[in-house]
Amino acid sequence: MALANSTTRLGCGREIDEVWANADAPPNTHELECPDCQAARASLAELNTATHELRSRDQEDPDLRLSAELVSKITSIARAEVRRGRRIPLRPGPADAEEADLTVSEQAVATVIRHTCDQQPDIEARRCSVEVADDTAGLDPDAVAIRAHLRISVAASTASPGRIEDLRQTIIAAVEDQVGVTAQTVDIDVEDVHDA
Amino acid sequence: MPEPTDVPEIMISTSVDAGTADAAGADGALDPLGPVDDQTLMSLIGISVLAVDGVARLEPTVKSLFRSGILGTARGSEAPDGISVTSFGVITDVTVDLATTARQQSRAVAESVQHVVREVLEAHDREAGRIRVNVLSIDQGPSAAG
Repeated sequence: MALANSTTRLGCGREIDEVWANADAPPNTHELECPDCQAARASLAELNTATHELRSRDQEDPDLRLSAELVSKITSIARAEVRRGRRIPLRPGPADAEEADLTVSEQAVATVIRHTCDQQPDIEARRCSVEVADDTAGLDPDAVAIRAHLRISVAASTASPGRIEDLRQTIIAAVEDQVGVTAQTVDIDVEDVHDA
Repeated sequence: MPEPTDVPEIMISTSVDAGTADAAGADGALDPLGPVDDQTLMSLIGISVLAVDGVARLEPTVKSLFRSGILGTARGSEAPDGISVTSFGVITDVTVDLATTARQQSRAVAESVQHVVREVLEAHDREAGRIRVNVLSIDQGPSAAG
């Protein structure tokens, strides 16, 4: 340990750390009689007092205090960041999105997918999740591939496999046009049927 | 793959809203070339990024707030939210967090922004380090579905 060197050893042979460890307690038998330890305790008490004073001064300094408006702004931004989810690379490169130079948020891609879905008559988008596709074999090597999972509700009169396939193709086109990544897989679950 | 969107001139200020223009300086005039400090550089990058076609706005993040000096902001600094600059000598890393419009492809917009930031850095005698662009949201306007 770096602190265990000659500069921290007192004249009586004890380490200053030992005195510090007992500083909040009453002096022990040795410290009651040892002038070195008594001087060290007094010095540490002064340091402790000075530290408390500095800390309370900082707490009262308006220049060091964030305004309520700024705290509110930080909280609001933090909440938005949680909603945005993971980041997806916009160009092929490092597997870790944190290392990518160009990224798009999961929420942004999901918004494109949900919005595209909601443009279709009698289909309502529910939850949507997006992730980078693991298997990109056969795809454009210059594009990032994603896998999307969309849950929808359809009107009873329009619930047909053909409509769902049309929706899938529309989503693939919208993701390419608006985001610039390839929707390799778009899983669509019809989780509800509603009245038109 | 669409080409990157049009890249604007570096010192465009006409399309910037009043709040951002104020960030450029009290008289609205910034030195178009030459060395500048990091705070000024952030303002210049903010102006240039907002002028890129397809950029809806800059988006603040907690990280960018702290990177750009949150206490400085609290005391009235006008550095734009969503831009952070870290300098190591002449090498400068930049992170831009923004929203795009659905009219333009996010990837193409992000590439244009990266290009614009590199130009701003070079114009001010900085060596571009890592330039990150994060599209945090895509605004769906009335014409987005077209």
